[in-house]
Amino acid sequence: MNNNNKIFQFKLVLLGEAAVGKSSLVLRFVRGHFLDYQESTIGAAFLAQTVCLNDTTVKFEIWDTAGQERYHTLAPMYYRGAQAAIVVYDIRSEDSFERAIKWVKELQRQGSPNIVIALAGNKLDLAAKRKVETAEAQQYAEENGLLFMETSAKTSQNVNELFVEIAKKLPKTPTTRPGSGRLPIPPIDNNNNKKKCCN
Amino acid sequence: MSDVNEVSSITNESINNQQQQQQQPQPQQPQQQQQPAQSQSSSPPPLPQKPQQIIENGLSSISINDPQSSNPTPPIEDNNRGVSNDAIKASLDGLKHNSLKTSFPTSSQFIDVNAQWIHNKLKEREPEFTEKKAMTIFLGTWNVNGKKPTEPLDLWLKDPSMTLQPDVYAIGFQELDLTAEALLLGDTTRSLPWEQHILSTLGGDYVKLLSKQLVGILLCVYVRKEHRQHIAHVQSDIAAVGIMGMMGNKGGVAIRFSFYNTTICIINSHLNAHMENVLRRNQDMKDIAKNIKFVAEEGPINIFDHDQLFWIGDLNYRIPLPDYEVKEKIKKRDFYNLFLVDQLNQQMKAGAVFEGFQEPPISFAPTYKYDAGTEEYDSSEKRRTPAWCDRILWKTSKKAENVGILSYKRHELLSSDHRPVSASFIIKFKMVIPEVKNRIYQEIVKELDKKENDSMPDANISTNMVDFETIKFMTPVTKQLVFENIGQVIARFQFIPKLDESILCKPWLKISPIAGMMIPKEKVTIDLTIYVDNLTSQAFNVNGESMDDILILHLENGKDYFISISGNFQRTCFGNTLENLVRYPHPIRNNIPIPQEQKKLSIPKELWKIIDYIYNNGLKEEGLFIKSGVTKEMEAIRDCLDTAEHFSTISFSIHSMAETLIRFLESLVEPVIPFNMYQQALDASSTPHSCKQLVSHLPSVNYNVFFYLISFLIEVLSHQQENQLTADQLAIVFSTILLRPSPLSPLSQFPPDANIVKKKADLILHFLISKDLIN
Repeated sequence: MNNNNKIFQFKLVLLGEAAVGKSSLVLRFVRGHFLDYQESTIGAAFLAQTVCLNDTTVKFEIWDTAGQERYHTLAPMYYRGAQAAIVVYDIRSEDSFERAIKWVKELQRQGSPNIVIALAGNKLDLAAKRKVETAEAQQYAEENGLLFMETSAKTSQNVNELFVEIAKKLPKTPTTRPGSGRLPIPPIDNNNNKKKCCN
Repeated sequence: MSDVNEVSSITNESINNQQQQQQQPQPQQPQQQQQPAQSQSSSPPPLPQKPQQIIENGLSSISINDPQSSNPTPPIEDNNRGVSNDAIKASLDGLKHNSLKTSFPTSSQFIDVNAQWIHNKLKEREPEFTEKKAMTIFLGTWNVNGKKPTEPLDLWLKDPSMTLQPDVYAIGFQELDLTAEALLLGDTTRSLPWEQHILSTLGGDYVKLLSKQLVGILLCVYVRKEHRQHIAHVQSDIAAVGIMGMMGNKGGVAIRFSFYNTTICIINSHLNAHMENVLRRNQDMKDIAKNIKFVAEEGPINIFDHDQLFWIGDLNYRIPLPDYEVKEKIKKRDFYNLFLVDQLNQQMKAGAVFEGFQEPPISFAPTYKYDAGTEEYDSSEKRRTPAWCDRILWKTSKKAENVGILSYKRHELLSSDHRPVSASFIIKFKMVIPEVKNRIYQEIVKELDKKENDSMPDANISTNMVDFETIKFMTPVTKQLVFENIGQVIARFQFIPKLDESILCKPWLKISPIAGMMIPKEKVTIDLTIYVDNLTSQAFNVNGESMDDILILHLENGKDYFISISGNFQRTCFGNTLENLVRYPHPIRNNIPIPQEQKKLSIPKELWKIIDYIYNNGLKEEGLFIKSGVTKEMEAIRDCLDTAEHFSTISFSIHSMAETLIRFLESLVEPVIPFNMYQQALDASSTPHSCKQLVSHLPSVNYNVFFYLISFLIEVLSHQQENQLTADQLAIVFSTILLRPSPLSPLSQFPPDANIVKKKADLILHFLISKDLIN
């Protein structure tokens, strides 16, 4: 309780193939609800949620990103400067697990140094149609120093736990720089738009 | 003799605390305390009839404060004020780096403000997670006159009249050690027997918290075992006021600690002696108060930065009356009139010392000076006047609840020339229930998160995919997006560049508006226009890029929307390069170039087709190249050129074809005379010979085109009589399109002056006049 006055703020990004349940995980965590039909994210949604640990308070600035491959090149805008990432796959899809591994590699290569990465096998409520074995993902996570949990945004199983584990793992040193906040906006060079009207 | 003030019950009488604190202690007259006028009057109030009244007075001090007034907004920590240095530095760093430039304040500022808000909310709900508790503190002071512990201390410390077991004992001694060793060497061994004596008197329920000694001044604090784990921030300090502020046997010792959430500071002091040294004693007190310092979590603090401050000791204030008169009054137990002239009382009333302190009412005889071991006041020659040297005062901070007095009395231990004195107080404190506090904290944080998320702007975009389908050269197409504010707050939006880019979109796309604002439910239409001109067509015609882009529409403090743009640009010979065009024997729109290594065309086939048509149909036309063509007809001609459709399938005037020639040459990404030869060409225009030399240095395709064009223009001039054209006219028209500076060059920023226009025209004119130049 001594650190209650201090809130550590971290930027967290969700990555993963389209339709694995990134937005659903965030909405379950932040709003506590679940939609059977969740519109696909075309862009990046921003939400804030705070996790109270025993001795500290961690505020997440969550960027939920578009999973479609065509937007892949825009992902660095959102994971740059992030201190934490949740890479999500659908336990019913080998492809989505393969894609998750690619995301992890990209984060390890281009993400912030010391970024805390969590691997989340979502849709645990549909475990009957499981294609990715827990042990396989668990082993991959261990080998790569990732947090790992199988989650269900629908039943809320392990959703809070996932964020709490990340909050615990994030370094809370006095020098922790707060999250970069909202997306930095570079100055707009509008030359190509101005030109027409100047002629 | 003994004055026993028994406490049997606690009443909840509550009176205004502030009024209480402004009062000077009045001896034994609690009823008068709420009437300041009377308390200052000279007519003595009646003596108390029974000790119970003292108790009532004491307890009346346990007032229940109005939390609104007694708990003002907690002080804001310095680092919460305004923008921190870190924040400023971070924004400066951001300015240095493009991609870090941000329109938001750095978030470290947000954090502090949020934390402060949560802290304030938590404070408001404090009653929900705190329990009010009371503790008792026993303070004792005894000047032992250098004596060693010989008699039992029970009479003093374990007074059988005490009904409440103290939670804390703070026991102070003076003149504990009068030896030179103590004074000069700081030897503190004499305190040990006393400490052992106290501990054995208190028994096994108590543990020592801390003891601190300054020469003969010793302060020991003991607490009940069960409280030990709730006591923190235990510190001590000393302040000597003797000769040169060191070495002296006068001064003070202080111990501070926090008991649950209540901070307590106790000072034991021995001030200067003798009747006449009043001002000296006042100064001693102030010096001790000033010089005692602690370092708390929040930084350096002094004795006044505590909820409860107690000051005990041999303060040495006297009663300035003749010895016999004092003794007379003591016999009559007329303590009231003695107290009126008591130096400490006088000085405090005058505000000269112990400002803001209070003393419980005195209802016991002066404690000094006795013949040691007897109950007789000083019988020596000096016959010192009895005095209340040994006192206990307290001061409660404005934000804390005042203490309740349980007792203030002297005890009949005889070994010293002073009698020990004690006072017991009740201190109310709040005990936090950690689980409840934690739960409420989480509730507040959750509420804040919800408010924050709910107050984020939200908008709906009509589509995330805009397909422009077919896009033709120089033909603008506009599509619209509708952006609607579906949130509860004003939505400010702007298109933002992709990471590490500085432009919002590809150069062939125009967004309007690029930023804006919508009140809730408002809609904004955003125009997206694709227009491919000479400059932007190269990407598709030559580099073979596909026409697509992703726009990022950013809501301030909210989400980002991606908008995919796609189109199908029809490849064209316009806005192309000569080098590229000669690799297309087939219609350019079919996009089947000749492999690099194969023989290319000598000139672009489109150029040949245009010139061939004019040659066959227009040489005699009046105003050829002077009159304008028709835009629609020229678009149709362009389509024929790009698709190898025959001109006979469309109808157009010869002037449309003539202007098409000019437009075609003009659209070349690089003119027939390349940019890097522009200046040379101007310089060469003075003589036919230098012109010829210049042209011989053209790349082969450019040379072919130049040669072909000049030959054609000479042919045009051969029909001067019909078409009325002069060499000068043609030279001016064609020189400006065959010879132009790079759009990147500063020369292209200004219209050419007459001199340059003439030089350009001269260059062409030489070839039109001196026909042998191109042979």
